[in-house]
Amino acid sequence: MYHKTKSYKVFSIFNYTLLAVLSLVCLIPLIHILAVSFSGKAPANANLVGLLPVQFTIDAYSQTLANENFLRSLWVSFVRTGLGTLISMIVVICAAYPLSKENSNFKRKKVYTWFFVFTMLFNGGLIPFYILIQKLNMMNTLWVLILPGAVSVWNMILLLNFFKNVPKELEEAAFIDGAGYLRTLVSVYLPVSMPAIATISLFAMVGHWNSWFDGLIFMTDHKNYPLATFLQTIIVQQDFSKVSVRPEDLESISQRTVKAAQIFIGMAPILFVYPFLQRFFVKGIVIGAVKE
Amino acid sequence: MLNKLKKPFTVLMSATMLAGVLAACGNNTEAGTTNSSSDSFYSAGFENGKYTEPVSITTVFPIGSNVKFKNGENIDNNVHTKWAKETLGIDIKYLWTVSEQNNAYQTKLRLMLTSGQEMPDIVAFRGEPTLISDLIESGQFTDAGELFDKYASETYKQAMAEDPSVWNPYIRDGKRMGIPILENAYNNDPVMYIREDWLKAVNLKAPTTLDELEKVMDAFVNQDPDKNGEKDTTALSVGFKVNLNTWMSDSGWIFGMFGAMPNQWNLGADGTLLYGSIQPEMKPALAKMQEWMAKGYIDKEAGLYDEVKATEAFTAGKSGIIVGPYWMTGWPIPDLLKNVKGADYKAYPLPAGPDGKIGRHGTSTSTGAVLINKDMKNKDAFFVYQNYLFDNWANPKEGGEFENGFAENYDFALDPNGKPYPATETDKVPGGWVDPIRYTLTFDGAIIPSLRLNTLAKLAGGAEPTTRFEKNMSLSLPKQLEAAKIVIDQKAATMPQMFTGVPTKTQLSKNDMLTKLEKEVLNKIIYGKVSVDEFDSFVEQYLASGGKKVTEEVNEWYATVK
Repeated sequence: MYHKTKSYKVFSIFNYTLLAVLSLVCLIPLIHILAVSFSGKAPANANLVGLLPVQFTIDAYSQTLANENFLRSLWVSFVRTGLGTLISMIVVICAAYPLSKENSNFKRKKVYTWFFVFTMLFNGGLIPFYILIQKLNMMNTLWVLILPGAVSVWNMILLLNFFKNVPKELEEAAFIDGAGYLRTLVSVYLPVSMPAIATISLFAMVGHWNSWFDGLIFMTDHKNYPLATFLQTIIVQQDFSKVSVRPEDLESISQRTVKAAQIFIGMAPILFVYPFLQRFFVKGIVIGAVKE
Repeated sequence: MLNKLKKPFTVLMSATMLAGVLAACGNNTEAGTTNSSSDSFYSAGFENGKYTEPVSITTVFPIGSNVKFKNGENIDNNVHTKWAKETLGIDIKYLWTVSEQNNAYQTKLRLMLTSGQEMPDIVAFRGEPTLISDLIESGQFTDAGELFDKYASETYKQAMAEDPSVWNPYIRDGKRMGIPILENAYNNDPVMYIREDWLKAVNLKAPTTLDELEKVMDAFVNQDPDKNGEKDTTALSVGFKVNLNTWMSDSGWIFGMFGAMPNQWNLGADGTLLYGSIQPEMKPALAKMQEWMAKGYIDKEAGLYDEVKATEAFTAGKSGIIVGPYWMTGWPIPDLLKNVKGADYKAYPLPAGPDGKIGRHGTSTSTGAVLINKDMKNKDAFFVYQNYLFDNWANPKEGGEFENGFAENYDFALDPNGKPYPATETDKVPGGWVDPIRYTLTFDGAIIPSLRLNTLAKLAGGAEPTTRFEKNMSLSLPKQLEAAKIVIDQKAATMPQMFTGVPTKTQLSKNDMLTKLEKEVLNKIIYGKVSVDEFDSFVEQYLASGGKKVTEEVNEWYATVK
């Protein structure tokens, strides 16, 4: 009955307080952004908004949802994230499974593994990469956002190690029942690796959703910007020291509330993904499958 | 991430420029509009100011945050491209477009350059001169000055001749390789905005000297000018995270009172260029700022605030004075009136220092250029386009095509009687107000530098508007006219940035470090962490770590353009 002891209670209190503070640190900025997005322009620009909206209005949202550029970017991001995650997961699983096997089953496994790891350590740099994309005629296509990063070596190594920890007996049992390698992967490995696959999918998803630089560089038409690139271009502060500012278009510059609304709308989809993936994070699926 | 792209080339400065090349001394070829197609003046059939067969111009374009579209238009196909095609017979084609922020346009141009892609017919660029320099070095662009002399219209030439030094950054071996994009003169020159109701509350008049200013500031901090019973006000909003001398929430004028101007190259008494931040005149001004910081006249966070962040205290009604351009009357100051009931502000001239000196930073009449590809088929097309805008847009004629704006139901709307609604009533435009002039090749249509502010000042002086431009300007906010008038009245106080060349060799290698050193020491002094005397050893260190070499190089450049 250790949880009855005094020291354990103290520890619990401390623990919960720390976690509560940590989550507040993450939550308060979000609440502030939400408050700004529902506030009037003038108080938002003067930084008078705290955690509650001032001069409540939903103008910022109606303006954002009427902005076709924003909606188009949102769509590009959805397609990119969906397709990108799917393709990335397929190639990563296909690569991790064979590389997780013993040396005796797969000669030169080490060579292949290093072949992958090498790309983690060295790359050609931006300009060769740019020229490559150009020569492949991938500029300004959706594929440029999806294919270059599809083989994520880091994710592959994570998955490879997870596969290694799956008890060999499961695979042997499958083989005895007449399954081949592919069948074993699909029917045995994938179900028991759900926690790892969910985690890595989430990594891939968040990565795709937040990636902005590739969109900026490779999209020759700003209509094809993914949302992250679009947001990045509106949120960064402008420098007017180089431009002839005319009073008549200053109105469009000070749109802190609209920015806040756009940030929030851009963040919401990826926030909603977490709870749905939550159930896959549960470990211990292999318990009882193997009798030692 | 973008830093990886920094300056892959060493910039070669040519030291053999011809002195005093003037824009307007070319032979005045009258670019008349009655040339028939048999005349070989134009590169293609040309009649009545229009190409008989459409000629094309290819270009690339940064979409700024102020570029908005309506009616499903986009940059490739809109009211402006239609106008160019129908009125001038010019077909504008965009190879690519990109958002303007974060140097994306610069990055993409650089990638184009390094990957050896073919350059468009014309490249217009505003910003750091290094990129233009690299583009010129690539050898893909032609002598634009020669073309300018041949094809530019009288109006265009006059506008360019207002400040001949605008060509300086683009002169290579005596050739003018880029055509400067002109901006409004004095556009960013600062005035002082003061809370009028606070002045009344503390029973003082607007300051004209440093002493008076300090009295006002003291009252603004210690006499509870907002009458809320709390000591929660600052006197002066400045933000010097980026620079002391900057485009809004400026503190350059504080140094101007002592004859210094940091962060730029000033003309010294001996006729050479001197870097402002290391001049002895800086010391008393730094001492003042240190004192003001200690007394709470300036916000303790001022060193962390950028230009926009620093305006917040003013628009929230927690600060009494801010210094910035005339256009702050349009943004962000009106927010103050919405946030604080009964608030009132007014623009005032900058106060004079102990010896009666007044100084403020200037505004460049040009911050970029247009480069013309040497393989462009119809090089005259750009001038046909630009001449038309200079002749008809920059200072529009009564009854002319652009008398009310660029296009009806875009940047203006007509009331039932056929009269245009005033420019301030943008909500009257059905489907929303957008500004098509922003789609033009040089971003702002055509600007005659001296026109705008002088017109505003003239109108503020009570002059009757006569020309169309004046009538349009007379619809501006009264406070804007007042502020513009003060900017023009204090013209003599302007201390222009004298170095407009490409960053010199030592600047490229040492600037990051020198800037860091300067910021660190000056901030420490202002924050009172070290004494003002630290300034002297800073100057020594600065000169020793490359500042001396930079000064020599800058003056070598200056000798070539003097």
